Amino acid sequence: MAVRQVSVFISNQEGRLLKVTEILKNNNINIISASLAEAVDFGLLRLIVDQPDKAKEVLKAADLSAKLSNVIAVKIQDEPGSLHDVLESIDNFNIEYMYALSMPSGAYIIMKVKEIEEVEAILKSAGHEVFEGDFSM
Amino acid sequence: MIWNETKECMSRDEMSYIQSVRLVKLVDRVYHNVEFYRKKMQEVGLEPGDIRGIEDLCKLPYTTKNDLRDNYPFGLFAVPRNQIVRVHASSGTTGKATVVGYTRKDIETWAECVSRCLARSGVGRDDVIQIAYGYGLFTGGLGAHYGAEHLGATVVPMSTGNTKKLLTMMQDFEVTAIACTPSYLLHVAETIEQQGILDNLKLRTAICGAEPWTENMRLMIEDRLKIKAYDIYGLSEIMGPGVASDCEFHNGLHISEDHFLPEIIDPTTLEPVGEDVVGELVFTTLTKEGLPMIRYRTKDLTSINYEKCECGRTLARISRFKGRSDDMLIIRGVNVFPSQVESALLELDETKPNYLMIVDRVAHQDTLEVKVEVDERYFDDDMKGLENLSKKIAGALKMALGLAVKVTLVEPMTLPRTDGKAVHVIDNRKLV
Repeated sequence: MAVRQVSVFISNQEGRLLKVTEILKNNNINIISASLAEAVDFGLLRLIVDQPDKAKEVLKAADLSAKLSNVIAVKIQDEPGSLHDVLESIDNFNIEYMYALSMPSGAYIIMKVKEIEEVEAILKSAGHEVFEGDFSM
Repeated sequence: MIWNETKECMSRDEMSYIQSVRLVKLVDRVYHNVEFYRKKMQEVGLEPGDIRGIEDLCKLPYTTKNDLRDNYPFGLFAVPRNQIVRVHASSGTTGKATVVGYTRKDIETWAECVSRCLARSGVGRDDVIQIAYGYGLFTGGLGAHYGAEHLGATVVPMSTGNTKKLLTMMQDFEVTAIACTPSYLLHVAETIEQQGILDNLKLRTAICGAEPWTENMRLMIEDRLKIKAYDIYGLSEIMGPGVASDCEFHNGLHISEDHFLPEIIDPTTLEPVGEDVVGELVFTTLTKEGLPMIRYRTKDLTSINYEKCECGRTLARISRFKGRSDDMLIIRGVNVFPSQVESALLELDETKPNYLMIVDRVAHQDTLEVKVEVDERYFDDDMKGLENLSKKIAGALKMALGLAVKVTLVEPMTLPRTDGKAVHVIDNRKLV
C-alpha cells in the first residue's frame, strides 16, 4: 500500500519553507525526508513524515495547500549498481520524480510513478524490498 | 485651426436650438424603431411627444453598458441590418463583446468629428500622420484613420506593435503627427532617446487618448519630444475616438455637442449636477443612425464648463477625467473589468480561486499580473500540473481580456484582504 507523502505548495519567496518546518516542529512531527522542486514563482515541497495525516491537517489549518499522495519507497544497498538494478527492473515505467531517504535500517529511494501497485509488485517479484506504511524513527 | 467654425463657434442659444430639434427627432426615431427604448419609455409613461427640447432630456431613462450586452449583438440598432456598413466591438464585462454599428452617414459624422479634433491639435492637410492605435474591432485605429483622411492629411496606418518600423517610417516619411496612447508615446520617446534620432524627426504634434493620463504626463511628452501633445476622448458606445478633444489652451476637452449631448450626473442619486461639479458623464447621441444612445452612462467622472474658450470655440468643455464610477481599468488602451478576470477563473473551476490583479507601468508600458491563490483542489503533487494550470489561466485571461497577462500562483490566504474581504485590484501606475 505504498508510502504516503505530504506535498505542500509554497511561494518561491524567502521564509515560506521556514513557515512549513516551523509548523511541523511545533506539532512534533518528524520529517524523515524532504525534497523541494522549484518553478519560477512557486515551489512544491514533498515530505515523508512520521504522521502524514496530522501533518496535512496542521498545515491546512495554517492556510497552506497540502495534499497526501502515494509514492513508492524501495530499499537500496550501499554498493555500486544498486539503484541501477532497481531501475532496470521497472524500465517500462516513467518515473516522474525521485529522492532519497535514510533510516537507521538503511537507505530508500522514494519515487513517483502512475502505476504504483503494478510497479510495487514488479519490484517485489524482482527481489527488492518495498517499504509500506508510515516511516517512524 | 478651427475645422468647422459654424458648428464649433455658434452661440449657446443656437446650439440649444439645434440640440433640441435633433433630440426630438431622435426620440421619435428610437421610440418607433428600437423596442428596447420604446419599452423603457412606456415603463415611465413617456411618449415621444413629451420630449419637446433638451429641457425634457432629464425625463428619459438612462442606458448602460449592460443594456448593450443584454441586447447582444444587434438588438439596439435603429436601422435594418443592411444599412449598417461597419461594426466594432470591445470586450464586455462578462465575456460577451459590446457591439456597435454604424451606417454610412455615421461613418461620415465620425470622420467629421475626428477631423475637428485633429484640426484642434494643429493637424492639417499638409501633415503626414501615423495612426498607431490598434486597427480592427477596436474603434481607435479606423476611427482616427477616417478622420485623418477626411481632413486630407497623409495617413500612415501603422497600427500597434512595431516601434522599430514606426520610427524608421517616422524618419523616412517625414512624419509630422502621431495618434496613439500616451503611454505608448512615452515608450516611443524613450526609444528615440536611446537611438539619438530626435534631431532627424519632423514630428511636431501628438494626439493621445484611449487611456487616462495627467497634465504632467502631457507636459513631459511635449518636453521630451519637443512637440505639442493633445488629449482626445471617445468611447465606442457613443462613437469612438473624437467625441471630445482639447485645443491649444488645454483647458478642458471640447465636445462636439451638435452630435453628442452631454450631461453630468451624480452617480448615486442619478440627478444632474451643475456646471463645474464633478460627476458621471452621460451622453445622448443626437445624430447617430445605427446605434443611437439615449442618456448613456459613460461611468467616466468629470465636470463640464460652458464658457466660451480662448480659442474662440463655444463647444462645452469637459475637464480631465477624475476616474471612474465603476471598477473599470484601462490597461494598454484596453478596457478591463475585474469581473472579466473573475469569470475567466470561474470557467476553470466552479469555485473560483481568490485572485489579485496588479497593474503597473514598467518603462511606460502598462503591465498586468494576476496572482491566483492555489489551494489543494488545483494541484495533485505535480509540478507539470501546476505549470499547466498557470499556462491555462494565462491563456483563459488572454482570451477574455485581449491582453497578455503574467500569472503567478501563490499560497492560499496570502493575498491581501481588508476586513476579511478580498482586494482584487492594486493599481501601482503612477501617472507621472
